[in-house]
Formats: sequence, C-alpha cells, structure tokens
Amino acid sequence: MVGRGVGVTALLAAVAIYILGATSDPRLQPLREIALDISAPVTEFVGAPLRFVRRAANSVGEFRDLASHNQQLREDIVGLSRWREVALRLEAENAQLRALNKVTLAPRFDYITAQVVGNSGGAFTQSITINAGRSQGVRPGTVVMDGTAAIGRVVALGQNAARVVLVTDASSRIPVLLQPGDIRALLIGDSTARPKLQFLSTPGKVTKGQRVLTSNHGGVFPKGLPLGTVDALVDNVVRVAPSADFRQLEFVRLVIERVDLTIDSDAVLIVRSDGGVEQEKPDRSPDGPEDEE
Amino acid sequence: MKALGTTVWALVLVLATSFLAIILSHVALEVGPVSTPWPRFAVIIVFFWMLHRPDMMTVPMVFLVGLAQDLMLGDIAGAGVLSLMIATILLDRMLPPLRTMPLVLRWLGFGAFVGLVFALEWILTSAARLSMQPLDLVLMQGGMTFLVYPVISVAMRQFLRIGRTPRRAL
Repeated sequence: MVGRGVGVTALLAAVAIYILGATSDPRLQPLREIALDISAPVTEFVGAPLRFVRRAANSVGEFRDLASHNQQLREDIVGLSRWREVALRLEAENAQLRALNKVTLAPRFDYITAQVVGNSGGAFTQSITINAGRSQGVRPGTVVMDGTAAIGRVVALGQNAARVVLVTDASSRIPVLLQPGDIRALLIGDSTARPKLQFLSTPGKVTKGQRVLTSNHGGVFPKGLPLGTVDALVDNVVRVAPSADFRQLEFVRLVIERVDLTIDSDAVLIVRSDGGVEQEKPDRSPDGPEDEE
Repeated sequence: MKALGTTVWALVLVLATSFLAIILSHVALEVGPVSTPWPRFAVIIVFFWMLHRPDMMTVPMVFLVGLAQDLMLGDIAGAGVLSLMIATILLDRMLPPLRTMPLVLRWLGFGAFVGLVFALEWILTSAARLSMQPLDLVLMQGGMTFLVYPVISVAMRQFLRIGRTPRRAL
C-alpha cells in the first residue's frame, strides 16, 4: 500500500515536472545546474578514451585521402593568395583612414574557449555541453562560435559547465539579416542540418549564396556574426547552410559582449503622478540650483 | 544482515549502472549540425533491472533515473521521465513471464517497451513545443536502442552472473 502511494506520488511529481519543463519554468533551473555540474566532469572523463579512439579512426581515414586533400589544398592556396593581396590592400587603406580620423576602436567582445564534453545525442534536442560555466564568466544567452561562425547560445548554466542549444535545434529562433540586400528574417531550426528562413521582409530578393548574419533584434545575438549562406529554395522554404564545421567541433569560442556601464550617482529618478518615469540630473554648477522666491 | 548487505549492494549496482548509462548516452563522440542519434542506454538499463531486480527498479526508481536523464541530456524536463514511467506501469504485467524466457523473446518484449517509451516521448515533446517533432530521428534512436539491447543484456548477465532464474547470483 505504501509502495503504491510512493509510486503515485512519483507519477504526480513527473507530471508536475513535465508541466514546468514544457512552460520553461525557471524553478527547474537549480536542478538543471546541479545535473550539469555533476554530469559534465564525469562525461569528460568517461568520454576521453572514446574520443581518443574516434580521433585515431579519423586520422586513419584522413591518411587514406591524403593525396586528394593535398591537391585540394594546392588549389585553395592559389585562390587564397589572390584574396590575401586584396585583404592586405584593404587593411592598409583602413589603417590610413582610421589614422586620418583619429579613431580608436575599443574591443566589443571578450572570448572564452571551452571544450565540448557532451552532446544531447538525442532525437528531440540538438545541444552540446561545454566545460565552461558561471565561474569562467559565461552568462545565460552567451553566443557560441566554432571560430568563424555562430553555432548556438547558452541555455543552461552550471558553475563549470554550460549547455548550448544549436542553431539547428527545433526550439532555436534567431533574428537574422541577409546580405547583400539587408533582408530581415528569422532563422528557425527544425532538427535538420539546414535550418529554414521565415518571415522574410522582402522574400522576392532572396538569392542563393547570400550571407546570413545575426541582426541583434531581440538583443540576444550581437549584430553581424556570420551564421551561414542561403543554400536552396525547396518547396517555397528557404534553407540555410551553416558556415560552422560541426564535424570538427571539439573546441568552441564563447562571445562575451562587453557592457560598459557608466553609473551617474547624481541622477535622480522621478516618478510622475501618472505612473511614468523620468530621469533628471541636478544642477551641478558651483553655486547649486537657485532657489525660487 | 547478509540479506541487507545484498540489498544495499543491488541498490548501489542499479544506481551506478543507471548513472553510467545516462553518461554514455551523453558522451560527445560525434557532433554534427544534427547529432546522429545515439542509443538511450538508460532505457535498456531500466528494462534490464525491471526483469532481473523488479524490487529495485520500482516506479520511484524509474522516476529518479528518468529525471536524471532528462536533466543531463537537456531534453524537455519531464517528457522522458513521464514516458518511461507510463511505459513501466503499462507493461508491468507483461514482465513476469518474460523473466524466464529466452533472449529473443525478452528482446521482443524490450521492443514493445522501447516503442512505447519513444512514442510517448514524441507525443509529450511535440505537445510541449506545439509542433510535430521530426519522426525520422526518433525512429532512428529507438531502432538503435532496440538493436543494442541484446549486447548490453548478455554482457550484463555475464558480468553479474545472472542465470535464467532471477536473483540467482545477485
């Protein structure tokens, strides 16, 4: 009888947790943090020999294809040499113009490098676990890149681990900008290798090869991070090929946007009678504000 | 005293193998834009212990294992645990005759269990996200979990020296 009671209680608890999970209730966050902090180091330890075996198998495969890779690299070098010349010329021109204008650009981002220690490996979620967390300065929503392109954002944080939901996950929604053309759209993951674009501002102007960049609408992703290129239009659905090389995803870069807050301690907050808020700065003249007679 | 020791040892074994199973499902062997589904080892372990130590793999224990799995894998919390518990309760009557049957029949029984677990989880996840989740990945993961079962089952029975009669060695 007692066992049945405990079983029913456990079932009710599971229903309650499902409701909280489905509504993304923050009350589950502490449980997620504990699970991340426990599982990440163990997964890293257990996975080390398995990753070693995988790397060894990959090396054998690469060795077999060495000749064709070599030929491909030679062709790439020829193409990149031309781009290098263009880049050097533009860099010099840029430096000259900045010097003329006396512009000093402060770095906008800090970067943290972390190792991928786990992945969801599941049918329902496309996410990875990394070995950097709150202690390393990671914040919820931190953007994660593979080195060149954004791959996802942090959705759950532990002290020394974080879970990153990938752009391909069915719950991923990223406001983007297509260039050239400045077309606004939403990049929506649907658990396929090529997420789709929806809510295009000017659908008629979309062409294959356009670059897909983050647009900072919604404020989660900084503006201008590359995500991929427009790949194909299939059944009136625009698909995007991610630029990130997910197959080589062993280390990732977390983009921490710098927030330069200037706190003005003299500012006064005035709440109007109609409930509105206005900010007023007191007179800072040496004589102070003049009293009205 | 000896009986208590055996019970504690069995409990530790059930918890340890369940935790290891969840971790193995989580190891980043291969990352891709869409991860190749990896077997759900925890589902295998739950079924294995339900057959061989039903007094240990009770509904509250299934709750603990399912919850740990949901939280560690990052799926919608509750979807995995609820589907695992419902499948456990529904198939509870099917299990006693399976215990003494040959591996092939136990494997078929596991097929029914894993099918029910994944179908329920697909429904619950689709309901939570208000959109139909892709079925191909679910079928692939369910299929892989089903295929791996005999290997894990035989290895664990050998390792734990479990005969056809339940609890002979444990």
